Amino acid sequence: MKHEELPLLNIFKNLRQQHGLLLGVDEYMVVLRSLQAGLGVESRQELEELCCLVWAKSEQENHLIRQIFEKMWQILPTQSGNQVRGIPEPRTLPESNISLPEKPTVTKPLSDASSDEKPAPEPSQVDELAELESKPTIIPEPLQTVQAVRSSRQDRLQIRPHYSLLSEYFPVTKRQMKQSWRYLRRPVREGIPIELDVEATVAKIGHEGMLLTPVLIPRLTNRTDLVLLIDQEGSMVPFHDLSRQLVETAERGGRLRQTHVFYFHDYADDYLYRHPALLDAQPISEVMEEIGQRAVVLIVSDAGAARGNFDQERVEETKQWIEQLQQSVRYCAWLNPMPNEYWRDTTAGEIARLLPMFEMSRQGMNGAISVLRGRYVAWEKMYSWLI
Amino acid sequence: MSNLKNLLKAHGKPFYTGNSISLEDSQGYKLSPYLPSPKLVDAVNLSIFLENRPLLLKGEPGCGKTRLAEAVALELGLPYQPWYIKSTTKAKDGLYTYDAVDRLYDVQLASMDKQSPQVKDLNNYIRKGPLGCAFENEKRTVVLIDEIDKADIDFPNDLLRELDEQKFKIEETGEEVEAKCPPIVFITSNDEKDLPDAFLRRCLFYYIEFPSDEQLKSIVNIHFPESPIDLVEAAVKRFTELRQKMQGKHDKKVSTSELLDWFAVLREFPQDEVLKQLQGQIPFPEILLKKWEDHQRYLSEK
Repeated sequence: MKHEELPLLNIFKNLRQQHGLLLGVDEYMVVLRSLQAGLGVESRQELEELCCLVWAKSEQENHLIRQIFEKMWQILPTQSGNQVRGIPEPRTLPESNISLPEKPTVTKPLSDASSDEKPAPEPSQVDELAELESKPTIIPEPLQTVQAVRSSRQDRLQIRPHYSLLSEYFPVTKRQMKQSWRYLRRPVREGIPIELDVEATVAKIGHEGMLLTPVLIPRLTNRTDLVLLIDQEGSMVPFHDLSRQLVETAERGGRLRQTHVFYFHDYADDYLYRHPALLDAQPISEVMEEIGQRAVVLIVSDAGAARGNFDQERVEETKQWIEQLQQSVRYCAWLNPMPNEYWRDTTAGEIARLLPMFEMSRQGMNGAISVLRGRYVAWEKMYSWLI
Repeated sequence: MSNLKNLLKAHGKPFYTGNSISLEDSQGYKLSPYLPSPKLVDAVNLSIFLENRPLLLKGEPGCGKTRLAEAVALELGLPYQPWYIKSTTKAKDGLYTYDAVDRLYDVQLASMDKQSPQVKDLNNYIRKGPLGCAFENEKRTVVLIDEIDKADIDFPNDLLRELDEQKFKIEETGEEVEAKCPPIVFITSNDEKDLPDAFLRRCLFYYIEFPSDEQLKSIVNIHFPESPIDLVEAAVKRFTELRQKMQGKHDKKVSTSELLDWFAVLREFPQDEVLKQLQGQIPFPEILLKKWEDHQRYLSEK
């Protein structure tokens, strides 16, 4: 089998487009360069290994690449009519590999990445690969969210593309979440003094006539304590994965000092739960004492917008605990996974009058984080029907 | 990838074979032997071949991530620069540090004595960090950036240019330091925090799998040559049993390094006695089980 016949480009595109791996032309070229140098041409396993090394960045991605290889090699014989038998022809002479002009393969990815002129890979292949994703393998639940969001936005999505170009259907991708979290910072000098305070040292020398000891100050660290209050169960079920991702990115990708996560259902009456399955209850007053005044609170809930009805009782109850919340912490905001045009005339619309509520989109999330940083955001003006 | 060897030779680059370190060497350098899997050896060689792609190693704690760099440096006979990251480490620390306070003291002394020997030369106050040293070295250097996830999340991004272009600028003097020989960079991460995508993109990634029973046996054997086969087999068997029981739970699992510590104690006792003990309750459980719950869970069973 020749290099040009290898489904490498398809695999690469599939990883980028269907699975959202952050790969650039560079990464493709590295694999080509290695192939030209004679690496990974011995067997399929070697090629697979090479691709895993260069393209995968986690255990899951390793697994994903292996899976796609498996799938590709199943498709291949039927498609090209070649007898591949799972292993490409062995290339014995490394010298000939190096001298082989591989121009067509090299230029392909370049033109491909820069323009869309190149036709997409044969539909059958794309379909089969798309199938791969829909199977509940690595990222199972997002589909539920997708369906939830899609069905609510049907009017917008009239022309549905043959296949989606984005890996994550979420309104905010994991990467964007991480980026947003990074803005949530309250730098405070804390810890052991190790940084030289130049100004103070100079002033001290001026005062004492000579340098006896330099003035040291602690380094800047982020002192934001984030509290995530997440609505679980009921109408929030399709969004579980989304909130899980929110928690994960805040804990692992952010630079927050502490992240507390509590769960509730519909509204918090007297208790908040530490476990997503609403276990490990803790009285709300105790939680408030524990997190302290300076913590910032972000609530994640659809506030009844998913059901689309109006529930006076829920509004009243929510109002009560929001007021309680606002008394104990300075900044809090609400993220609603439902798009804001669905809030109107529902419980959510009424709750949105109580505190800054944002839809779960990039702008919404940035807005919520600005509120948590103590900036004023004209959130009411975003929704004309609120005023 | 068998032809990597010829390839690296053709390019005049060193080639790592993963041979275990001989006993004399390990005593001489105070290093214990290291036994990498063939795939890991490939990964190392690919990183050597590509030059500006560091090898990012992940895996369970105690599976030998940190030890690899040392083993590679020793086998290839290259200088070794470890850089152990702490939560306060900044990217610049790895390149150089400028001791302003020291210079300030010297300026004062100089103004008193009316002699200014070294104060004028800023280079006297600049100390190169591990990466800076590696760039300056005429020989290719093996650099280990250990536990990169401990640092601030900006840390990896601050190193992008330095690792990519293999040069950096000393702000204080304006001097550009360019790598004379591209270093072989190993990065380990315990996955406490996610690394930025831009950084990940530039790395080769390798996940060190937990060794199989056979590999475990050979690992024990090269660490403790001439140990009785029965004892090695019994110990490894007991160890893997324990590990399998831990499977599926989120707790810390027993690691290779703990097995070696454990075995080091076991071999000191008469063989028949130990073999008998291995049948029953785990001997010296404090080496393997680090939590009270684990003690309760795994010790009460037999």
